[in-house]
Amino acid sequence: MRADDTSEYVEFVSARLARWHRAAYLLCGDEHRADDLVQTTVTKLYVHWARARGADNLDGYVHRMLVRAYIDEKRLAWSKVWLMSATPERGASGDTGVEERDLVVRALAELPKGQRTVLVMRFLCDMPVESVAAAMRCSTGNVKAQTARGLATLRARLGEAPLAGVGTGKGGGLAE
Amino acid sequence: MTEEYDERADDVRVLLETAHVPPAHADLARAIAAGGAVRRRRRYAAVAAATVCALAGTAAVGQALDRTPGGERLEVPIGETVTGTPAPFSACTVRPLPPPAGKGVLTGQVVADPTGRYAAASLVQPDGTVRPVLWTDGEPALLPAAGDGAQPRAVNSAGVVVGTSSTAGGTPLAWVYRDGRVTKLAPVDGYEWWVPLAVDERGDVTGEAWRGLRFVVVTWPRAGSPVLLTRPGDVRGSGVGGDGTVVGTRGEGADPYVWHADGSGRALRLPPGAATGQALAVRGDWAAGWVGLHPEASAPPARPVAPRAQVTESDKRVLDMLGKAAGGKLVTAPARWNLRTGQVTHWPERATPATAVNASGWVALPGDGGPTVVSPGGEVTALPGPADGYPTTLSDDNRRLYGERVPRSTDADSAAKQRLMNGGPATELLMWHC
Repeated sequence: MRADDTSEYVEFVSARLARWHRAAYLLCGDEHRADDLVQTTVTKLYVHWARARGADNLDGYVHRMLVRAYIDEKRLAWSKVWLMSATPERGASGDTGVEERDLVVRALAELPKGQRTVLVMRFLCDMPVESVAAAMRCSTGNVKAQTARGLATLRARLGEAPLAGVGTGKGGGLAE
Repeated sequence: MTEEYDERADDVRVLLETAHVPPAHADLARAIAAGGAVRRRRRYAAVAAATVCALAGTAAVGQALDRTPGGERLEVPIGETVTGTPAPFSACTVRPLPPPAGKGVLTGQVVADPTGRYAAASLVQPDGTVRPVLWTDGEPALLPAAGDGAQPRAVNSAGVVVGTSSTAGGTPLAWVYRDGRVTKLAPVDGYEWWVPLAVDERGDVTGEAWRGLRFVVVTWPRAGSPVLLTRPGDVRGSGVGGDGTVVGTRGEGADPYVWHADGSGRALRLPPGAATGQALAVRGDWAAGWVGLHPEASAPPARPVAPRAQVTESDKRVLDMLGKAAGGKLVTAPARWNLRTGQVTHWPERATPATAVNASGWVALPGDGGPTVVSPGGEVTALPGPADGYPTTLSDDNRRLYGERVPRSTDADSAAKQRLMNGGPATELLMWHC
């Protein structure tokens, strides 16, 4: 890859890592798997950078890669091959006060995988219904139905907690 | 019905935007190294396919080759980029890093994370004690005390700082600052001293420990006791990359050396005329440092062997070894290695080591009339600010460098003393923003 391309890649990716990590974490609800998903995605993006950089909607392209990496278990298994050497020890997070802060994360985690995916893709990544459908390899009707069900379930789960209060937590990591 | 739900989803957007998310640990240098390997494999496959297809004379040949344009030939920029992005480093500004207000004077070497957002150094407080300082986007914050004479050694892009100091009893103390607290790293049993050199994006710490002149590379996993990565020997580390690659020197003559997280190692190539060398920093596929040339092999007059970068407590010993091995007759020149191809580039017209390298292969070259940066293709760009500005870090996005002012010549001490007398800092730390 040419030096300019690499710099361009680094610049593009550095500015978005925190956001992709947020999406990945909300999708899978696991710190280490989220890191793996993002690492897989940025590695693949590097491999295809020459082509990807010309995409009309590069952000959408990367979001699609991220969802595919999440959905496609085979792909994840492939990524494990070279991520294995770097897999950190699990557990020992030592985090206190998690209860309050990750109310949303837990509520999301309790949703079926499809509903969780459409909510994150549509409302965090701002992907249109058609793109989500393409990434998930399903119909737009299916995406809409899952969105409706996901929103309803999420709201019901969080019903007891006032929504305004949830958002005033400490916020997450690097992004802020 | 679904449209109705969708329209009212602003509350969910806010929830998703503000939900607590743990810090990210993805590593760009690792992505570039791993992605580069995949691309190379594909290119070989494409070339092989092309060879087969060529026999059949199909159009697939062109396609297979089209998929892999340009290759990795970084030395030869091809064509013009028709983007509106200005050239890297074309508009840099430099300013001093401020100390925490009214708390003392800055000292020590500045370290920074690969994004350039975080930087760390030390502060001498009015009572003489030394505390670590962490800057976030140039804003200083005093960290909790971390033993005597705390000096940060590295910081990662989550703001985790590792450093060295000593206990009241004079024994080594390696520490890590994380989540608002300083904690001690476990001692390395059987060694006299140990120094953390890097903290990666996962929070694992890598450094070195030594006993006499026997060095080992050691890693402190996020959870658990220190693990020795090399056998005690004459190799010693200077810089650590995000993927656990360590660079440094080997042997009395100081040969540049690299070894990997699995314990395997190899010598780095020396350019013609060079007898010694040391890699000081590594990032992804690239390492930076210096080589020692025989004076007859380099045109300019003799210069002292005085590498001054990433110095650890034991650098003096290595320099002594160097002096003995070379009879004090070598001159230094900055150098850059491509770890993948093994290629070495050096700049014999300059004397100060290459002090920093980033994931795309840009290096910082201080000294010799003023600090500069050199692109992977060899283009040199001068950095603004004082001629004695000495950058020691270079961010992956080419936007931030950190360093200090290092007055050359013998009046360095008196200049520092003068600054102290005038109430100024012992060290002037700098931040370049590009």
